[in-house]
Amino acid sequence: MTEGGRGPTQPALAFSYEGRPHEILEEVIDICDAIEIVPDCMLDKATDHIANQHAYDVQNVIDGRAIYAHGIGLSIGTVTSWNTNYLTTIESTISKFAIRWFSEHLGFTTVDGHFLGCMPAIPRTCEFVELIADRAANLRAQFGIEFLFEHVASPVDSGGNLTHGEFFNAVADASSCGLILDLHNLECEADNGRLNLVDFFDTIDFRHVREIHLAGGIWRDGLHLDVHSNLCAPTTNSLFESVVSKCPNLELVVFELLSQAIPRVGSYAIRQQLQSIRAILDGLSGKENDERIALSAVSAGSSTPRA
Amino acid sequence: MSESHSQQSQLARQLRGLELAADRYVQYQVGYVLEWAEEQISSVCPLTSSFLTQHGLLRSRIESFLRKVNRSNRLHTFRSDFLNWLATDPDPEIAVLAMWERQIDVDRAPHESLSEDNLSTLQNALRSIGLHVVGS
Repeated sequence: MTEGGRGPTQPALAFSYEGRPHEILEEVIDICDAIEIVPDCMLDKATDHIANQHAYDVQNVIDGRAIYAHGIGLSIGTVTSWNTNYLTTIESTISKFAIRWFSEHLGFTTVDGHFLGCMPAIPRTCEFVELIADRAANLRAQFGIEFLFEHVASPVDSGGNLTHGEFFNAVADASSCGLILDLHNLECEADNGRLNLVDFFDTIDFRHVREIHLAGGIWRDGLHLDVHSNLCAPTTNSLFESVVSKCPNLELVVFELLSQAIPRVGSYAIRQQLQSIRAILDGLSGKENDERIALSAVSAGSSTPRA
Repeated sequence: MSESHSQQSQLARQLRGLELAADRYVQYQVGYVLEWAEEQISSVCPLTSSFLTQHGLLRSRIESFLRKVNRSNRLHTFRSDFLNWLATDPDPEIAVLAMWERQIDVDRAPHESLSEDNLSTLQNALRSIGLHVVGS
């Protein structure tokens, strides 16, 4: 099924698929153990359901590989109410695909019924930890599947009295949900002066990490933005190499790339990126799990020059 | 939580043009929303957004649009809503360019034909962003 597939204890390698161009699935599927779909980009025009054509495109190539879903529009951090329409999308995703789990972001995309078109991060407070935990319990009760959460990068301080690491741990403990460690997103936070990577990795409980995201972004006006428009920078690959062996419950590693960026980056480069991640995963086999994280080199900032 | 609730409400109210929030965090988020909207509109309405950018009007038109229209979470619906709204713009060049660009959509049929006056305005608008119409 997978070309040069993974070892028995190795995390699955996946590409993030946003519904187009559908040809990319066939071009990279042989390197992947799984696909992570983004349901928000696969809806039909008139409803909140997954479009049949998108479901067909994925089912047509999946050949027994696992499918994971990564949502954007739940808006779990909107204080008054999450986006109730999005529950239909989750339900439709589950009915169309046998997904391993559904993941979402610790942010909000809707306020007072106004769709924002972007995702501000929620403040790192105990109140928000409770809010997320309550809503996560609702999601599990309603859909009967596992949910994961991902931290959102924010160039402006999202507020709160907890550190990023404390907040991450508290959300996982209180919600009993696993976490996604998005390494590019964390690099952006560090480069924008919002986070110290060494402190963060000293604080978080790696047992909560079930999934790792890798991506590349851009620099604009002195800020490092997490926009998934490029291949990974060398610093992101190094960071991945440093932390991956620390996550005993890691099941999935995803390379994320916006659908709009696929034609520019090209399938050859995407395949090379996936193969380089595979090589790192293959190299894990002989490593000791208590290897010390060497983060000092990457904590100083990204290798990408500021514009 | 009440502070967060208040900030989120202020964000929505400012986007709707109902108040100007004093909170720095809210101001930043408003800028963030507008910046993303500019990026998204530029990617799906390249002609109209180029024209608006060239005339320094993209941000203000998007801001005005978001005050009047509850934007869709579907990018292509956002596109067509924005172009439909601009098609009634008081500036004839913006209006005709938006009318023309909204027709460049495979799902729209039949296409409307432009009057001679509008065609001439369109040619001027396209010329101003470096595009020259050839043929009839």
